[in-house]
Amino acid sequence: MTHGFDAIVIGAGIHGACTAMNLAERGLKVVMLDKGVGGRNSSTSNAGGVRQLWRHPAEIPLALEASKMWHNIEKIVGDDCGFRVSGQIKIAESDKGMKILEDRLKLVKGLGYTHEELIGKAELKRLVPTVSDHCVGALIVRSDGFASPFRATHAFQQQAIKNGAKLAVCAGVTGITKQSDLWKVKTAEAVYEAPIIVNCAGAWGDQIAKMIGDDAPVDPIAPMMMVTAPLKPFLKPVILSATRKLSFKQAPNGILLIGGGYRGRVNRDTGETIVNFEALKECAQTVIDLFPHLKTVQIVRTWCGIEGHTPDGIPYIGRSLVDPTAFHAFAFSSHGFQLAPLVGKLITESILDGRSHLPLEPFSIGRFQKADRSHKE
Amino acid sequence: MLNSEKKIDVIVIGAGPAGMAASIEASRHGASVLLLDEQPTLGGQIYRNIEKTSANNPAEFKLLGPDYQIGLELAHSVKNQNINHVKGAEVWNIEHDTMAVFYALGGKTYKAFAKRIILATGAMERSVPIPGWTMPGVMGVGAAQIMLKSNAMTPSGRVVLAGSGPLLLLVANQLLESGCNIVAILETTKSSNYLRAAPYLPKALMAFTYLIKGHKLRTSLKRHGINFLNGVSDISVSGDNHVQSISYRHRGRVYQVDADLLLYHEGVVPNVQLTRLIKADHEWYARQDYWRPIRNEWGETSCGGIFIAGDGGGIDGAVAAEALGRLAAYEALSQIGYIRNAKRNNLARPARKLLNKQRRVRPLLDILFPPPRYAIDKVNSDTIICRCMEITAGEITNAVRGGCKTPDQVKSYCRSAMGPCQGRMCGLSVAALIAKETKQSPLQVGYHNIRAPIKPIMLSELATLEEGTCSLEKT
Repeated sequence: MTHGFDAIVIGAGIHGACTAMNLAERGLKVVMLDKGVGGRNSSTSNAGGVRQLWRHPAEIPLALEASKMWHNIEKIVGDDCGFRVSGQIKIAESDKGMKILEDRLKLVKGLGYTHEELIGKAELKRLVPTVSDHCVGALIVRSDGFASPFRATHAFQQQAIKNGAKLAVCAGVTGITKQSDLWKVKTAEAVYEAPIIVNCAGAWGDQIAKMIGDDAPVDPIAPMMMVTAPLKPFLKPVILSATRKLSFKQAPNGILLIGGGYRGRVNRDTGETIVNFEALKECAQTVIDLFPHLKTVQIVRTWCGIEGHTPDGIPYIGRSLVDPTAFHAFAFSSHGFQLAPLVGKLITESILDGRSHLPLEPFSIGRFQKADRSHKE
Repeated sequence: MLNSEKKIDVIVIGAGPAGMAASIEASRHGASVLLLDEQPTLGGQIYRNIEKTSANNPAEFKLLGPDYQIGLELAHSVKNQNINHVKGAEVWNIEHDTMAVFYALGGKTYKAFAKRIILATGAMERSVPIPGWTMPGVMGVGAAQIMLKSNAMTPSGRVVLAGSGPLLLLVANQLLESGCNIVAILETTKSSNYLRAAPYLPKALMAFTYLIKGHKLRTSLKRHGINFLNGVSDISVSGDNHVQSISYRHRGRVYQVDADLLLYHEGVVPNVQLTRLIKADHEWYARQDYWRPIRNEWGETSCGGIFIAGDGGGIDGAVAAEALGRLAAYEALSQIGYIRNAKRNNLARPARKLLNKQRRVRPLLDILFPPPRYAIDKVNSDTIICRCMEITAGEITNAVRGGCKTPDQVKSYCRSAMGPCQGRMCGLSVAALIAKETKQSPLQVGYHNIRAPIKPIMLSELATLEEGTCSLEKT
């Protein structure tokens, strides 16, 4: 059946699945359309960080609430998603790095938040005994952690389906029109109809937005990850750097996951990505500098998935500018995983209650349109 | 991208029969050749350590027989050409668009650019999970032969050989002659296969030679009074942290034999890690249940400029591999401009003749030694499928029941194929399990997406990545 739906969600990644799950829970008939099988890009290829630390100020209220949801994730989706509370810690290697952390703390405190905490060398050594001696201190959020992206995405999709949502796979959207209050969404196989449409198309979200009539720039990127052979447990917190690109953690099975935003080559049209080892060379050096004992650790895998990046590095979340029955949640700019349990709920509130209980204005789909226009004028 | 002067004409990966032949021909006609190989000496698996064995261990050299000895000439020819043979080089990545080959050597990694790349990465023993197969004391028949070739080492204790394929009987005889204590040979091949293969006999000129060879091997083994059975099934291994006994079914009854070592073999399959990595098109070879890269008459893959020669493109044997290596070299030479097409075609004629002759025996062998399709039904839920990550058949089945339909989804779900071998060992078994569970063919299920590095590299090696072709020691 391609009609009789109350809402169409485009994209069955973790945000699409969460949106469908929430809408279906509140009684709507929902279908998720995915060009693949759902969640094969940034939803499952990210580092799995569940991080409130160093969030863009506009994202802080969302991240704080999402964190509470992660601590309760099994009740929400029926699976613990591999979530572990480990703390996330941003390390300074010099006084210059320490100054950057202090300025950040001042900014966050000025906004009235208390979740980020500055620690000195002694506490850093206590939490991360094997860190190189030249490191001087760090900024930490102790309630942060990490989860398994694949398990989480799978759990959200399964919960959406359990709540009654349908999932159409290999259903890439080729066109969107609106006739007498009904959205008609075309795929190669069928035309789906519903009064509500939600765009959760990730790195392809700008293309769907354009079909709806919204203009929002997206840069498709391919953040890279490396994984090592398993080691004896030596590291609990997730490690970030104040001055270099790094995200580094040890999973419960002993492997190290190394990322930090180094980018591979990407072709969004074919979905192909190529790992750029020249860039990972620098990443490997950073790890060795911070943890000299890891020099001979073996890298067994690398990968990258396609993610959408916005000019200001925060996502598009909220109502369309051209039609009040269309909504967006995409281009999370490589830090959308932590927000996953929350955003679909906020979108659902916007649709059914007229407004969400947390402010979404900073994430407006129109924020660059205005800037562009004023620039031209 | 580098300008063409800084590019090597031909990079050949693998120094077995195909790689050596390709290097010799390319070099002979004026091309610069970089031959990268993991081993410390020329020869690949089939002619492993050929020069040293012939010089230092004449007894083993004789024992390994004429099929081994013929490799010596190729090795000598490599030395006589101006070929940059880099020993101990582990190729861990190839980029098709830049034609860059990444390899690790002596604690560093290098990136060399080529005009043409010839992959001669050969075959590997088919990895077939049976209950207890990950216990110490179980190894491949091919691996045992490698020990004989590389170090003149023979296994001690009570040895059982089991499985199927031409290599099984050959190695059994070699081990016997070298003084090994073989207590049983359990062939999974059924005698009725010989009847089924009969229609292919007249087409295979080599078939009679081949069958006579097989018959001699069998007679010799029986003469030694070894318990030699055909049509064996349900092989499983038990022991307390080490092999103690092998159980099997024969003519409906279950038996057990005490042993210290099980050498298991179910034929060989192409090693497709590199051709998968570059995303070349592959096809399913249903007669033997393996994937092979699609190649044209010169061995060029769907990734233009990258060739596959030898058993890595489909199992044809060592002599055919040599012919395939030459053909790839001729086409590479012609594409770069060293020879004209007419000359290429002339050079290719004898190689094609040899290849066709060799290939005529394949249909016969495919029927005689079918892939062990029954094996996947015999695994227990606690039988390990992915050795690197210790993932059991039960965990994979659960992943499929949880909604995973492809090897990559299963991989993300339960971490199978995420270890150092990158699915090289378990790729076919995982797909077979998914196929069984979803009632599909392995063709429909597909294969893992292979990513670099295909061999593990150390963080310090990656941190020193540089362009160039530094070798520790030239041949």
